Amino acid sequence: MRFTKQQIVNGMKEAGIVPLFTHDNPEDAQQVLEVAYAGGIRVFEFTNRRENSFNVFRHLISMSGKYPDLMLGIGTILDGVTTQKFIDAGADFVISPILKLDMATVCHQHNTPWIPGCATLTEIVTAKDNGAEIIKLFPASVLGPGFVSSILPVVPGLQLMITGGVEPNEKSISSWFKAGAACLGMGSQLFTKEILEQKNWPLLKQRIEETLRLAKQVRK
Amino acid sequence: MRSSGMIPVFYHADVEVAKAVVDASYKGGVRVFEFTNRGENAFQVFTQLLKHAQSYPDLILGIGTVMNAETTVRFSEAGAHFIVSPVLKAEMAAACQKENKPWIPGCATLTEIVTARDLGAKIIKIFPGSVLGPGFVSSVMPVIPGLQLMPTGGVEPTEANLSAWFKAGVVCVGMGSQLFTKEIIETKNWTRLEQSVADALAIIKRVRK
Repeated sequence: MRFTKQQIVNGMKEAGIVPLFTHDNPEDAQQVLEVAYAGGIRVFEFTNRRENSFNVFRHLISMSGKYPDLMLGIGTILDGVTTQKFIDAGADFVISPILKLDMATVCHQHNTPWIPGCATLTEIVTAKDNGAEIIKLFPASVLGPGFVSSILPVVPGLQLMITGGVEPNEKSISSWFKAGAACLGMGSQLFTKEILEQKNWPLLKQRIEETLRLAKQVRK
Repeated sequence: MRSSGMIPVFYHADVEVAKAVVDASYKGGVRVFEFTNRGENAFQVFTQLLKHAQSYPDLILGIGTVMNAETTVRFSEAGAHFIVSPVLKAEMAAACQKENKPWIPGCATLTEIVTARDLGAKIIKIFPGSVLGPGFVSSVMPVIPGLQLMPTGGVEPTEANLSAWFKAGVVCVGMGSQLFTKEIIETKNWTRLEQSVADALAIIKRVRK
């Protein structure tokens, strides 16, 4: 294990932004990861959304010498068996779009952070009671920052990762942090189709730097 | 359900009204109809509707607003072609499997949706549709590809609303009070109902292209 659970939880909160990304080409995925790293990213979620995602993820892990202090986790995991497989491959943390308790069991056995996706306070508290320290709110754009500000006084201390429709601009970022979010997950809004198609890495790096800067600024 | 794109959702305590609504819907092009179990004599009206629907051999007639396995079995044995629920109740999945009837549970979070899928639901109802919105569907579809979602509740028979839902990736929509307006039912304006149904189906055909 490269990082302790506490280091990862702290890493996510400090970073404020956890990018999520998938690609079925190992070299292209690595390229994007290196650009994100150069832009300041230290926590990265690769998502298991393609048939060969496992192999691409293993490739990314095998190249971790290039980004030694990067916490690299896996997302879009739906069950305990797949959780085990990716932890064995070296995932630093496991994220899911749903609340599935057999994933918690596997993650706890390995002392790996389990970040389940929840959409109601009942799901969130169930996740918390089953050991989730950071809980993903999904799909966030449907629930809105008002959901976060409504539930935090009710269950204080919740650490929520906001995912789904978060935009890399001051208005969106600031609305979520003001509501009390611990960190923001950002995928297609950051890695736009256009940037990826044109392989415009300087623009991607700039976009990431700007997003991290905004996250820092609005949390001051 | 997939090919028709729209499932009307309707309840009325008067069997004659229910029959007239099914007739008008059928004439307007509906081939899948959900009668809902929302009144005391829903079971009686439904069994009479089933008898009435024998004159429409290609009409699929199911029951909605079912909450438990016991009611599932009762309606299935009466001849319901499918069972719709506003909630996710696992015992209904088992009952439907035994009866070999499609089980369409109502879900409101992705956790519920995946649970429903893992319990064997092929089509999953998104309820209440208007609260979650098309944005919910477009957010979850890339995460779990292949989901077949049917939003119900607040779906409007307008081009703007239907197009938003189908663009988001739904397989069909359920439509109740927005289609069977109070006015149409009270005035028993079946010609207008037939027209509204035909219009809604035409819009769906257009926006799906």
